[in-house]
Amino acid sequence: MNANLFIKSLKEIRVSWTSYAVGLVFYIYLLVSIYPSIQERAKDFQKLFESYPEGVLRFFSGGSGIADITSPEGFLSIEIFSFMWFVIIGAFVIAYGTGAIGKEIDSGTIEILLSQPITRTSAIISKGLTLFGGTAALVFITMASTYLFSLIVDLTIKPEGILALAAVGALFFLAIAAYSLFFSVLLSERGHAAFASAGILIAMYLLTSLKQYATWAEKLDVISLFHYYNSAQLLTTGDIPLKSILIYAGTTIFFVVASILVFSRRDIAP
Amino acid sequence: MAVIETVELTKYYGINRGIENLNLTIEEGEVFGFLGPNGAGKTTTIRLLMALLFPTRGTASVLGKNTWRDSAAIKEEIGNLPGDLNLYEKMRGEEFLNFIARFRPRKPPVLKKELVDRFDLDLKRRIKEYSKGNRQKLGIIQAVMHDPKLLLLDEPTSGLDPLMQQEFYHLIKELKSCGCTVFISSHILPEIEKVCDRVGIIKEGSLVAIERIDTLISKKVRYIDVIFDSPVNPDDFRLPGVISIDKVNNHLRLTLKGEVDELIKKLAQYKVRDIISTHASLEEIFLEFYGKGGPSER
Repeated sequence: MNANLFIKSLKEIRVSWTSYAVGLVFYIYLLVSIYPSIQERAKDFQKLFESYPEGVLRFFSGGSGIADITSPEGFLSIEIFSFMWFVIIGAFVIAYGTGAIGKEIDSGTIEILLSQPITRTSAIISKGLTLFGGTAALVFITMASTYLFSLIVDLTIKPEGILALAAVGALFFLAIAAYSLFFSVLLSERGHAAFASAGILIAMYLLTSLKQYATWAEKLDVISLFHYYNSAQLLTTGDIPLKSILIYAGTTIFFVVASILVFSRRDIAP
Repeated sequence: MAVIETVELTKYYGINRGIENLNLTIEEGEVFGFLGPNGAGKTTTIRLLMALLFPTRGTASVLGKNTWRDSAAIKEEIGNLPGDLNLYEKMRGEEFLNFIARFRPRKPPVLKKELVDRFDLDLKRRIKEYSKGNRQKLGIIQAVMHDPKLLLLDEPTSGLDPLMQQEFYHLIKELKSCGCTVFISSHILPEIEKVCDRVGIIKEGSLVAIERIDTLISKKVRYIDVIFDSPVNPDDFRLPGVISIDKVNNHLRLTLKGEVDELIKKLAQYKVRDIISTHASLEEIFLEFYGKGGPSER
């Protein structure tokens, strides 16, 4: 790793990362603060949820399945750690993942950068560490603020549940970050890389959401990263499923290695 | 010692030719000009030497090391000024130079202050606020400031005003006197003449000639347009070196190869209203050199 490039990369994301972090904390505060009123009218909310078509509930819960919104774990899973969480952190991960190397190629600064005594492996690792560090930090900020705000509004959740979700959630987003990084070194234009990365994320989400309704989706669901994610279960049990860890860590390692191999051999010409 | 050595170096972009079978040896302390029109393969060659491109076949070595395998170690001793100079727009000049300097902790930017003074560059401004000329100055400074053993410069005076161009030529001469090897890619013949010892001419991806500059000058073609006060006999100007004469009324266009002295002495015998001397374009010199219908055949 090159410390000089790592520090520069950190400086590059400091504004956007801070904006995401502040936005996430505010978003979590807003959602957690409505929990007492939901609990007061638990029966009404449960009825309201039951009135929604199952497909709608499954779509917005991603891989987490349908949970009881009046329970603390169900509420957090449905309101925070599902659709919107994927959208918010996914947007950061894909934007920075595809921009880590893609932005340098797009803007032509890669030529100056690689004219310096730095190996391509070192360059990609320095950029990748910023990406992975920034992603993991966003996940942990989400978890920490959720736990703190939960204490304030008397929303009782297990600390081990939050820790389990933090570990699985962080690895889930690292896997997305890794394949975004891969597309950024494989494709010459950042826009194409972002399109491919976002497209795959959406396709995986749809596969898992639609698996109840289509046999082909059910068969293909195992290749979706959402298949191995169940926030309600993680928060309730506090157990970290080994399969999820292996799938996410394996995906991350595979795409990081592939990114290094591709970047080490590809032509760099603005 | 050969500072740059390429053997059958070839680069194709898919089916498109970049360079083909480039065999080149550049010695230590030499200032080598790489001449060619746009698209001839000059930038491709530099990018191959910088390991920014992977060769289709052939090898290149710089400072005795393989450019691809030992890329990072070689770059410690190289200064590179890309032709398409793209810089980090949000950085200030100072911040950019410091960022570049930190990549070489063992080679501090000993020439930075002197270069900034010589090129009169304000480092407090953001790069996005720089003019084209100031960006080029910053590019030159980042390439030279660590006192490299080898400088690779792609169209180095692009965007520089004439005063700064002169400063740049002085700088190259000083670096040469200190033993630095310089590889300059350009399509501007006078620039190459001013600073280079030898020149390689690249055409359609192939190196068609390597000449010493003094040899090139002796082969150089120029056009001399003379407007006389009264009609003259063109045959009076068939002097050594004059390879063609075109006449329109009182206007003669003489194509001259070599020394101009004898022609000037001849012209002095006539009443001349105007005289314009133009160097042949590089393309015309190529054609003259390689017999594809240049001035000599007109």
